[in-house]
Amino acid sequence: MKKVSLYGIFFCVLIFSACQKELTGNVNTARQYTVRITFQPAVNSQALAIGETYQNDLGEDYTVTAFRFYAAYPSLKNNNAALNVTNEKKYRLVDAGISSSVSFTITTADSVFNGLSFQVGVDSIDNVSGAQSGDLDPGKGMFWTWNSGYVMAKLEGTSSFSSMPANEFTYHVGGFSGVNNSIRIIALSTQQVKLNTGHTTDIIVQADINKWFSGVHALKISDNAFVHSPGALAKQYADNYATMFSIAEIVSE
Amino acid sequence: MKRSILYILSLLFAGLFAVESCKKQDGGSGAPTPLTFTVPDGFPAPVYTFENNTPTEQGFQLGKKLFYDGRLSKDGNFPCASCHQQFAAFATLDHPLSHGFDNQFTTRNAPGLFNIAWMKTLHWDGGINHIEVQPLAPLEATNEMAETIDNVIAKLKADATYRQMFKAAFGEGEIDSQRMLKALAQFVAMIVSNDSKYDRVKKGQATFTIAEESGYKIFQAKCASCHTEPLFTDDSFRNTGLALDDVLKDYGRMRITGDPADSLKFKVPSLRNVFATFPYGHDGRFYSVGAVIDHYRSSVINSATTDPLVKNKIPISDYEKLDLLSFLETLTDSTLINNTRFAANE
Repeated sequence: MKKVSLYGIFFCVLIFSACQKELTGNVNTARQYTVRITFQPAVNSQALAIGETYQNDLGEDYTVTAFRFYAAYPSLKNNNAALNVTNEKKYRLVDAGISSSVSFTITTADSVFNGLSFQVGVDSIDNVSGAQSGDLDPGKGMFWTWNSGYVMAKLEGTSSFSSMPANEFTYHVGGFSGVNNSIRIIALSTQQVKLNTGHTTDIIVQADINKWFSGVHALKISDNAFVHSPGALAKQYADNYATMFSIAEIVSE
Repeated sequence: MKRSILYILSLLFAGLFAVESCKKQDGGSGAPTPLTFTVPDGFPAPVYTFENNTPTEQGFQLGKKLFYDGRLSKDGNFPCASCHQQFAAFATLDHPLSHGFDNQFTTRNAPGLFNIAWMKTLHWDGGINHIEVQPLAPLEATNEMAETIDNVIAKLKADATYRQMFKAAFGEGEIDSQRMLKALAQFVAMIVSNDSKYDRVKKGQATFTIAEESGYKIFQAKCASCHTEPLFTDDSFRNTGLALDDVLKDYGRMRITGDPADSLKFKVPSLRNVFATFPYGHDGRFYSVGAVIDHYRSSVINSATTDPLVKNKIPISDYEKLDLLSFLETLTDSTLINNTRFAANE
């Protein structure tokens, strides 16, 4: 009987090792550090509550019903030199209504950084290359079907200052080419952070919705209750929300 | 001892199974049958090259099933084929505007679907930049198919035949919008029109009548700068001097670019199969090919964006008009219209 169980173990080892190889791929023996970037939708440093009434800096009340944006290419910098990082995926559709959608995990072989950057929006090439999947699946409601292209960021809600039916406002910001380009690169400085192996370092990035109305341009809800196409107004909203990000916290556990 | 041999044997089988299941991840069995897309002699290189969407018989058949399936619409009544009828070279015959969900009309005349692989953009206003994403527009338009992408995918996932066909075309993995759209693109891009009498004359297999030959010369002199051979369109956007319709208020290309210089410009339609696709114009306002010619002869409206080529009208005599009509009739591709390969299965 002893013999039999030895065979059993032998086969099990064979089977597992055969499968494992395909799952893990090539193993990198260099030191790897893990950083998790988590976007936290917020209003004035307080976490966003869907349905809560807020006031923007132009004195207008508003509530938020939907808030989404595409984040891409998160990267770390040390004294403006980019660290060599590996992203788990190219795009993340950050959705205030889906808690599992707000984090990006990246790995790097470098251990020190003092800056973070990322892109808000979908690369031009991915707007013109046909049917996409995953976070770029047009079923996610971030693709204009009548004027091909992605909505880079979306903010929807209600305000007593909106002249639209049901007091709604809908800002769908997109445009990927030429004068209509609404892709924005965000760069944020951080304190100097030393990474440790075996620990994930968390960077909490707040996204302050108030900045949509007044980050750079003063855009009153009473003047514009919606933007639904690429163009000058969409670009102004993109300029505004490009200023909404700030580092709230960096935690090494 | 017998029991232990059985034990070893069953372990051996289990091991084989496990190895097999590992293998399956990188391909599996029953690879789909490749299809070739042939560029007809004399045609330019196509815009759509099936990049990341290698055409296969299984993908084509899946695309065809989707094209003819009413379940892609909200109430089941509006498959792609409801507006794109094969007997009309995949346009809507005898309808200026097509019918959509809940007794609504579309806002533009449905174009014929052929030689789409050569189009840089789609729709009268060029709003669609890639053949694969075009079906999303009618699918979600509330006056057309009135569905949502998620609903359609859920319907497809619930259908055993579709599950099997998606697997045969694309292998393991979930049915998603990307796969649906790629299958539809495989079907639509394969619809090529290159076997009209005109094509056979070009190949030396037929000869024009005297009237057709004369009409061809008039065509080349007066129409071909926009309706360029061999596709019979230069794929550009032009204002041909049509009056703005007060109800539709359709400014065409400007809706997409926001540029006043694009006001009232619409995509130049192909003249292939023109006699199969009436009525004509972006809103289907012309009920005959003759009426379109008359427009260019006598009723072009000049505005800031009217095309220089039609600004001074196009002088065409009554004789020339008759010959021109004779020539345009040679562009009807009966082979395409009757090709059962593109017809609904049943």
